[in-house]
Amino acid sequence: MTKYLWYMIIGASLMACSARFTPTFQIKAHPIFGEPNTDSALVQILQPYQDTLHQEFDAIIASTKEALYVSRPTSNLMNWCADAVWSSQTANKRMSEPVICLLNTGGLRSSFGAGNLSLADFYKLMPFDNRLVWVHLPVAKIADIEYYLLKSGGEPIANCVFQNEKLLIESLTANHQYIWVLTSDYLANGGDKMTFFIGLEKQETNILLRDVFIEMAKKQGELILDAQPRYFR
Amino acid sequence: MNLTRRKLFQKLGLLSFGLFLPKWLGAFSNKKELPKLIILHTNDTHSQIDPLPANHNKYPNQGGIVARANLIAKYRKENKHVLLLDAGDFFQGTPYFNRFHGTLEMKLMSKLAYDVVTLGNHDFDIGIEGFMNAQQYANFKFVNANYDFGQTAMAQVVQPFQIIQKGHFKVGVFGLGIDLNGLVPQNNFAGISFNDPFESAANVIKALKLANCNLIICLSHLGYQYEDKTKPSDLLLAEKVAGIDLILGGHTHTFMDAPTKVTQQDGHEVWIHQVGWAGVRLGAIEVSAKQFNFHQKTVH
Repeated sequence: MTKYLWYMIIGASLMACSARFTPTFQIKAHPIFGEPNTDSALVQILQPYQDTLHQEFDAIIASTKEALYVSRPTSNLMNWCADAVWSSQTANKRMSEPVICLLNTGGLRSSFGAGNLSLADFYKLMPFDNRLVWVHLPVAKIADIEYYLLKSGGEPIANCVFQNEKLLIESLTANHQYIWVLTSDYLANGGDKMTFFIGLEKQETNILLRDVFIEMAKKQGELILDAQPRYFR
Repeated sequence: MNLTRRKLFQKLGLLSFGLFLPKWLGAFSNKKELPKLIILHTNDTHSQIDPLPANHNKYPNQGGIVARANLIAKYRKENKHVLLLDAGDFFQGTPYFNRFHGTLEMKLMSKLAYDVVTLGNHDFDIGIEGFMNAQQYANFKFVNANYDFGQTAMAQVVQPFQIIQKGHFKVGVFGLGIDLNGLVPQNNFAGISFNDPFESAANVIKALKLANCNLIICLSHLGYQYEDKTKPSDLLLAEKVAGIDLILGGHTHTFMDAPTKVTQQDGHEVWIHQVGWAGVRLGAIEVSAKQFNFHQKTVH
């Protein structure tokens, strides 16, 4: 009797439990280098798309002598993008209020190697269909931008410098109550936690930021670089 | 004890023992076979279908979907049990996405036979409708456990977890996503709300344990680590939530020289791995079973 009871109890209790084990892991990251197109089925899917893309995006539109990169707190590509936006909008205008540009580092998605730059390179730099907008920002809210820049560690800015935790805008005087900030619609709507823009007066341009960069690159031919820091801790 | 009762006990005992027998035998045979599973993983591939250009300042000529396919095929040829996973942000970053709106990424990932993927914030860049259009071409599974998809169309295609049997391994794979507020335009995820990732993880792990999963993997798009130590991240997840064996991460584009091991209070080890971005690395994990432990209730 006891023998069968033990069979039953042990059997039932083991059945109720799952087979567990202690897994061990060997983990590595393989670099992936370009290899010949050996997977014909994959290439068959890919080829028509590649052909279309190369046809439409491979055109060389500019060049750069130096590599451009995106890196906080400040970098040559961050400066170039902010300058492109600022100069495209202010070149032929006399504004009574200061105009600065504030973009986001996270929105610039690629770097440029030295050499020719194709249309595709600019799509990689700014893949998003973000539009350029003007935001009318009360001077009192500049402190919010300063706090944001301090916390973020650096964003692309133009016509201003961040120094000693202050945003220095040369043309700003005590008489000004507002400044204009050139930015993207995404940021103007509070994207990337730039909540200080929410609820402010905005003027849409309906111009894509990417198109601003493309047009400026075409205009410059060889990109005009400014590697001077604009962010000082 | 009369004869009838004795027979009944005999039958019950043999029946229960008999039902247990396959597992019992399996345990012995498992030891001999050295159970092995290969987990391959990517994250933040960002529509990088071609290799990076020759003048790329960090990873010239690296990556590319064909090279990735070749490497994956090699693993599949050499190993019986292979899982292929992705931790999100497969969309956005090259003109392929701008031009073809994610359909090519879905077709190619299907051809590579991905098993399960989770969603990154950029996978919402063409909104719910855009995602639904693209996912028609996907033959793999989408997981996320901390987004409430409500009445949106995505509720039909994204599940909290998937369970996949691979040889001796009953693998539970679940997904966690980052808070989309402030990262993605509101219109792109209207109707989807964000739940606490750690609570969601704890709930889904309970379900996976009840289903007797013996390997639990989290595909996380939370990000590896933040300066703000309170912001949900893979490291915090590994420290705070019990029961995960492996966290395969994304979002922060972290190139890890070596995986991170987090030992929890009860001694359980959680491994974290992430392979940068743009598909220039493929994570490869060989899982083996060091020993089998049967959970047994003490019989008094």
